[in-house]
Amino acid sequence: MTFAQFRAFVAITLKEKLAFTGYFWSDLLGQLVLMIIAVSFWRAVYGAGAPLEGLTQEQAIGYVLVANSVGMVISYSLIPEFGAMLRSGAIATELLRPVDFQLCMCAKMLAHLGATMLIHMALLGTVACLFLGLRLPADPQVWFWFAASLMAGNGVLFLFDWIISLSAFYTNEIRGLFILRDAVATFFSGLLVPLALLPDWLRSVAEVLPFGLALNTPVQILTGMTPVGAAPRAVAIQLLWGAGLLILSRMAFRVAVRTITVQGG
Amino acid sequence: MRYYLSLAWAFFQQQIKIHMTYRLNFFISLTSTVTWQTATLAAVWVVLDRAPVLGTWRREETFLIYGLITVAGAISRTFAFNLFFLGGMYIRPGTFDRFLLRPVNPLFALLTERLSPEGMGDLIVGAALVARSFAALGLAPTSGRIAYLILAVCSGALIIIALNLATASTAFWIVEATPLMLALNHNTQVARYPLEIFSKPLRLILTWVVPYGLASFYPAEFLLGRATGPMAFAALPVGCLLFALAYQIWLRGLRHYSGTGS
Repeated sequence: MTFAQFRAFVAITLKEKLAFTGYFWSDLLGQLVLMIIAVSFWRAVYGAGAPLEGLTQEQAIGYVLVANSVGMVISYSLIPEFGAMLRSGAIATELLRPVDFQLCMCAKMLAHLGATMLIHMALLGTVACLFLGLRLPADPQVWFWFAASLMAGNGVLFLFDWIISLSAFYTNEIRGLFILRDAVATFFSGLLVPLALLPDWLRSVAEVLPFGLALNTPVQILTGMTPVGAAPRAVAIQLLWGAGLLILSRMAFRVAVRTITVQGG
Repeated sequence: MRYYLSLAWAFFQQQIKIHMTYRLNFFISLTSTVTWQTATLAAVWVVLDRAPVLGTWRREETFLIYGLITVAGAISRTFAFNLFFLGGMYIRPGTFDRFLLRPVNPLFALLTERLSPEGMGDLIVGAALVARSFAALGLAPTSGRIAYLILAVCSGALIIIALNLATASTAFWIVEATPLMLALNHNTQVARYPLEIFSKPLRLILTWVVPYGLASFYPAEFLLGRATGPMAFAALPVGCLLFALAYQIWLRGLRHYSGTGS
């Protein structure tokens, strides 16, 4: 896939997002409400101001504000799209296209990520900086590693979702599985609470799941909880996960695609 | 009334049959709502485990508030979930017309078309939280308290349904009202916590404008003996009033509706 094709995907995704302006602004308003709730909650949690597990109030609030600004990336998933394509029969057309199906879907995910970054983070981040006390770093290195980590982490999540989505070829309906994945991802990505605050046993569970890589890792880099010197190692871990899941996803697809039943739409 | 109840039961049975076509998926759906609630609750639990006081509210007291709004939300989800789909699934494609042709109230027809058994998952988690808070706080489940609990959660559900009905009805004019409803529904998350942790304007909004606080915070205050004023009983009259207003908006919307011609 060329850069021009990818750029076209981003442009289409942006247009789709902005086409329903009512939807777009209501969605942003909802996110803003969640951010205000989160700030009030964390201020009350800290009360007198003593750090929790080494996290200061400012760090915790900075973390939840950034996590909420980019949290949309967690809820984007292939799973419902796979289910819908299977039910409508559109999967047959997708498989017949002269481009790699997985690469095509990956480009869509990256386009969504780009659009989320451009719209949500820019708008919500600005509001959070102006009215909710969020302070973002000025160091371009931090921003570079944040962007790299966000992209790598979401690549990992994409590949994980890909493997889960393949179960649609066997069960034909995966809405329930998507809700389940969404719930687990919301908690273990660190969207609701920084993973650093989890008790040890829950943190061990989070470490063997890919969700934290998609959100907790990049947010920690941007908020300084992971020093910029340690960022390359964090991204390397994400890439290792990505490589493993890429191999697994290609193998799983090759087996699962043989069982596909096109519903006919 | 009996006619409507028997119709609702018949619709419910049909939907169970539809859900059972994909049995595995149905059971995953049921457990997934429990998982969703557990995930969000676990996040609060983890934090309150480390900092067990929010404002002047202890952890178990906060969980009572959380449980009350969760149960109220579960009732709303079970019986009024289809309001979320009014614009996208009925008005936009033009399928709303068939509700107008049925010999029943169109709102009843809309709501019973999709009763959501998944709400039972929310109900289980919410009820378990309330029960646990009662036990942890030494509140005996007397008949008076149980009656008040039932009144509080049903009134809370009425408030949530009324606000959802009012916003869903805007779909008759703007077609897609789901995001507006979702934005409004985010406010129910505020009602999971003691109102005192929020700023004064937010507290006023949650008490008088989108009164989710009446569904959880004030009943919890009453049950804990923290306050015994009229606010503890405001949810029912406010819920009825809101529902009456929302129904008027719905009726106006119906008069405005002309179909999309799809």
